[in-house]
Parts: sequence; structure tokens; C-alpha cells
Amino acid sequence: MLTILVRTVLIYIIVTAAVRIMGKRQVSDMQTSELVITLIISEVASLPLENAERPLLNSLVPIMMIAAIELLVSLLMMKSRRARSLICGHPIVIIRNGKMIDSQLRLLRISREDVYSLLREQEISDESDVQYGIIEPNGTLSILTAENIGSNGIQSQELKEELEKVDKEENA
Amino acid sequence: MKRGWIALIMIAISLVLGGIEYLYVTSNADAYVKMLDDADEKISHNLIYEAESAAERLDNRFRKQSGIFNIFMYHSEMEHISCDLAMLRRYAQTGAAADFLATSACAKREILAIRDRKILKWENIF
Repeated sequence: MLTILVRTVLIYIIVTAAVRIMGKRQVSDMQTSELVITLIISEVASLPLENAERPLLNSLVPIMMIAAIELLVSLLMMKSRRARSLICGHPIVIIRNGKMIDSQLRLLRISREDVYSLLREQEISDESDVQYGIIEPNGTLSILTAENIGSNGIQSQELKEELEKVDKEENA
Repeated sequence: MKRGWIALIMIAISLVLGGIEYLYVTSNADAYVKMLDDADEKISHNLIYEAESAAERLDNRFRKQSGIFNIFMYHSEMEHISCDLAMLRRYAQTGAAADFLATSACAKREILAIRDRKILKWENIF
């Protein structure tokens, strides 16, 4: 039992350090890959606590490696937009100028009713009030109305490209 | 960029630990198998006292190194080998050559299995 107690303290320190190094994010703001990594770390960390026969090192090394890879991948995503798009995905426009884009909804496998539900969560009852409805890479719906876009328009290059793509598809 | 260096340091520490484990376990496993072969040879030629001292050396060495082995390996595996080596010592004392050889074969198989698991091979990875 004493071994388990000491191991628990060590695992707590290592996991806290790993999560701290990986950065501060709320669970709801996590990218899918970050959520998966958090789940893997929690699973690996629990193994030596469940089984005292298992060497602690067998869990500490994978936790260190996962945290290190996550750090390197996040740096890569910061440097390269292509890598970011590949790993995290990109924002997808589902409402444009007050109209839902069915092809995008099919791509995301969500129904119109799901979108209405997401709009209601944001206290919007009518899709025509929305200039742009965008599903972010973390799965949340962002709403842009004519008022909150501002005079400079959309700044995100990623989103501009997505809007151009939607325009092309609409015109085709 | 500081975090990038931290990540590289963490990868380096993991690789060093992996390397130390690999070298320590494989080199010692080879040494144990050699010592067991040597003890088998002696008991086969009815050299009971020599076999007894060989078994004693094996057991003492393993007990000395068991602390470090426990850091790298499952403790139950260590217990099995430790029991086998203690039995070897006893069989050598009583001159039970057949039992000695059987237990030695069992210990060798266990040690080689551990050694093989540490080697970076496709079958181990998958």
C-alpha cells in the first residue's frame, strides 16, 4: 500500500507537469487530438496504480513521449497552416447569407434540425439573421452577423479560403 | 520555442531510459543464460560441488540485481526467475541432476523470453 501511495504522488506530479506543459485549455475548447491524448495519458497513468507489479517507468516514459509529441505537433501546427488543417481540420461554413448549405451539412453529417438546435443555444431563432455560420475545428458553431463582422471583414485566411471554396461550389 | 526544447529533452530522456533498459536487460540476460549453461555442463558431468557454487553465484547475482530489474520489468517475472534460481541451488545441494536441468531449462526460457521482448522487432512492436 505504501508503494501505491508513493506512486500516486509521483504519477500526480508527472501528469500535472505533462498537462501543464501541453498548455491551458478547457475540455470544451480542446481539439479532438488533444482530447484523445488527454484520455490516453489518464489511462496510461492509472495502470501502475491499479497494478503494483507493473514498473512505474513503463507508464512514465509513454506519458513523457505523448506530452513531447503533442508539444512538437502543436508547434508544427503553429508554423504550418497545412499541418494544422491536416491534424485539426478547418472551419466549415454551413450558413452563408442566411441560408444553410446542404452540401456542407452532408459533409459534416449533421441535419438541419441539429443546426437549428445549435442556433437556439445561441439565442437565434431564424437562420436568415446569420451572415455566416461556421463549424469550428473543435466542433462548436460560431455565428457571425452583419453587425459583428465589422468594416474590415473576415481576417482569418483559413476562413476566407473556405468561403471562396463555398462560392465556387455554389457557382458551379 | 522554449516548449520545443522541453519536448526534445523529454524525448531524449525517454530514449536514454529505453536505451539503458535495453542494454542492461539484454546484456544481463545473455550473461545469465551463459552461467546457466555452465552450471548445466557441470551437473551433467556430475560435478556437484562446482554446480552448487555456480547455482549459488547465479542466485546471489540475481538477488543483487533484482532491484534494478524490478525498475524495468514486471515484478512477477522477476519472482518466477528468482524462485527457479533458488530451486536450482537446492537441487544442486541435493545432487538432483534431472530436476536441476529441468529447472535450468525453465529459467533459461523465461530469461530469453524477457530478453526477446525487449528487442526492437516488428513482432514486438505489433
